[in-house]
Amino acid sequence: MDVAVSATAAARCPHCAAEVTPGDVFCEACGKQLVDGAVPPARVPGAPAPGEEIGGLGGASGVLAGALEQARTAPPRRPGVRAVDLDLEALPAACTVCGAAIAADGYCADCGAPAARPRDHWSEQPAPWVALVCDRGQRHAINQDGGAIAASEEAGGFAALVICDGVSSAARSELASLAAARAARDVLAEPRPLPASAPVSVPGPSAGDSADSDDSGAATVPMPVASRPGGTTPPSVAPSVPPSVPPQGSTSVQSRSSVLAAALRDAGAVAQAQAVRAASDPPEDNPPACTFVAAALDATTLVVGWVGDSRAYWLPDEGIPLQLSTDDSWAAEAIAVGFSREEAERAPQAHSITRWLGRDAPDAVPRTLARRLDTAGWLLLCSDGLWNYRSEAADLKDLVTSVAVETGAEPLALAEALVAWANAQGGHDNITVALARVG
Amino acid sequence: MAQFSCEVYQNEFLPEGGTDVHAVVTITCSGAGEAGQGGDDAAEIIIVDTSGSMQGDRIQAAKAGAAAALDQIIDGTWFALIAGTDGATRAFPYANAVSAMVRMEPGARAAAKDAVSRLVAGGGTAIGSWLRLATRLFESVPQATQRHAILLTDGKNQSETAEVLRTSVREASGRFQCDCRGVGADWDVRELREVATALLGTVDIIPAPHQLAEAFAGLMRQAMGRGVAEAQLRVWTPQGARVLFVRQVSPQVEDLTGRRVDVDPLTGGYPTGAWGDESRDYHVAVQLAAKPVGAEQLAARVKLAVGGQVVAQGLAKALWSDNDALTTRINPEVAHYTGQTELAAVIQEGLAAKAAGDDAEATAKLGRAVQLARETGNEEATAKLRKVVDIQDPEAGTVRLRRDVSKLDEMQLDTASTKTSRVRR
Repeated sequence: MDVAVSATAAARCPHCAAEVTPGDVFCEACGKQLVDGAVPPARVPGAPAPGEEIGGLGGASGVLAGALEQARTAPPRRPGVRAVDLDLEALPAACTVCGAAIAADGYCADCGAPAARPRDHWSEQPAPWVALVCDRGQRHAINQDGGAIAASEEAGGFAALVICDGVSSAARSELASLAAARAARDVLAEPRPLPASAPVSVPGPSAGDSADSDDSGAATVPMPVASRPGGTTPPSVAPSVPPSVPPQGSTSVQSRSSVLAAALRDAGAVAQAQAVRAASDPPEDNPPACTFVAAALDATTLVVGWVGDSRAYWLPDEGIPLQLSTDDSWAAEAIAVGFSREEAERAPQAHSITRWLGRDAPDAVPRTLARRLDTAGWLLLCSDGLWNYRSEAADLKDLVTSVAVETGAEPLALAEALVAWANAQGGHDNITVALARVG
Repeated sequence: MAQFSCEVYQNEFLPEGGTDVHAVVTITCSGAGEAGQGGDDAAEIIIVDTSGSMQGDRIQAAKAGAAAALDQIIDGTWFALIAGTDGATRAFPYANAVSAMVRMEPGARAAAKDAVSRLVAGGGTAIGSWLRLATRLFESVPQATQRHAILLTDGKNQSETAEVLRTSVREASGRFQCDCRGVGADWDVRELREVATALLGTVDIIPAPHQLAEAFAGLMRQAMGRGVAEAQLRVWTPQGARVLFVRQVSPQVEDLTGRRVDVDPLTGGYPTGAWGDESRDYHVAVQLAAKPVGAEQLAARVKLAVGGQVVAQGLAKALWSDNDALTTRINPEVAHYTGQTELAAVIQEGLAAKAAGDDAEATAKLGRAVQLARETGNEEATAKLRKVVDIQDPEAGTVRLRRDVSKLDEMQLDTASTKTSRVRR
């Protein structure tokens, strides 16, 4: 399979040559900026140069070609941060059924079996401590989930995880979801300076959860007026609302989290632009749409952002597991304004998502939540193809723990096993799982 | 440069355990140009029946027809004229000419017309001998890859055995295409249809001699508009599959199944002759081994190859589903041409039964024909059936054989039976 890899070289400060933490934007030793946004990333030997052909587009539509175009222009990255873009449209050379050649029309030249579609099941692991697995599931004809991750080589450095779940009632949502996820990932992985006034220091261990520094926090959610039926449909809504502790950490954590939160909103805007781009011209009645959940984390700070019902969970090894995101679904929003859970979930539109990315999005700005990272655990992002079967954070934690007994703590093996588990539950929807091991 | 396009009409959904995939494939050619203009030469032979029965109006009309056809032959085309009786005579170029065929140019056209005017009717009818001479003449111009003849007769093949005719047709097939026309009501539709079918041509009736010139001019104009000398229909089917049939279904029904030659172990080739700017429909049926619900398999790649190069391809697919709403849907094109193919068969079988005196069988078959012609919107067939049967209930297909039927009307119904109407899209 053709792979385009872009990464920056070893994590050393170009000004004083001191070793720097992957993901940092400023040198801890000399304080100078580590990467100029205009500097193109170094090439990995054997990888195609920026702008080089990734692989045959094999009948890709103009929209998709556009999405690939986006992916293939290697964007600037934080030092040491890697991302892997598979060519998910490439035809495999051989038939998975009989081994004969695949013809240009996408079918086996011998037995007529359709070529395996890379998009049906794929994974990314740009660094050993993160992984993403995306799968068609059992019931859907195509995989409309998309996802993208980037991470520094060293565990405990910087990582960006993005999942977008294409709304199946709209055509070509699979183009929107993949393009949106990749574009958002690229924005999150861009070098981004901290505010000049912010001193860079590691916060003390006494600092608690950092505040939700966002202005559109989960506490005050208006009753939804728009809804999108037939989209991704949660059967239940997790009761756990992330605790919102008033700011009490050091200013550096606040600075880091506000920088990451700003990056997340920028990523959301770019993802929305990509989702809009997937719409046809002239515009259709039901344009492509997708959800959005993203996380950006460095050694001490985690920020998540979301639009729709794809979720982010924090599953600490010790302590209380949390669902960090709050679904933008009719039921979740009804509960938030005071309806009883029972009342809200009985409503026929309970499972409709109320916000999404796409040309007809009523509000595509991600809600964000920041958190200090001070214990070991798993950051898990997923589409409803997984959480439909284990919605509560505590249940999901139990699942991860029991699956990890078999797979160990290797993120890719664990993510594959979680996807396989969801498929074994029926695989009613596309399934995407992204994991980062913290601590 | 000729351009080909291909469209596939089918319901790709099969029920659980379903095996048969039907698809109608429309192949359209545009920009074909003119015969002999694409690098290779074209050759035309006009074969005129000059047997004794042609005396009078018919020979005069045949001469007018041959002259009208000569006017349509493009300069540069190799051509010859054959006068057919119980033997075959090369009427032009004259017997003492150095070459068996000559290139058309104004002088040759005038000389050929002069030869036409000298044709005299007398003798028997041995169509096989005419075809054998045509085969020999075409062989004298190997540089002409596009070869076509028009054959006119007014009678049955009485001066040679059926076996001789069959052998002659077999020897001619693949060497040239031949459109056959019968004038009057004394020739045998089935006999001439066999000749035309084997030689990738059409058969039709010219009821009255005065219609002959126009018919011949039209045939030759059409032949000259075929700028693609030869194309091969190719049907790929997957390992383990069986081709149930390959039929041309428009503009007329022609079963191609038995004409298969292996292109490779999975691909059969079927000759389609020369192409002009036109559109032809093919009905392909393939039997697969059933696969589980949810599985997909390519059932056929239907291609057109010109000079060994594939110029168009369409895909027929199979998708096994447990959704009845999908699997029970019948594709309109497939339904239409299935009906049209049955229509051609029941008309021919009904007329054969009538000729054999089996009125019950004839009534049943022609009744079914009335029903099918109505269902498939084939108004030409309905109009021609009306001359042979009294229609009592077109929906139920109840008819009564007419007693006052003219032979000409029966033959017109017979020759028109394979002409299909197109699907109203």
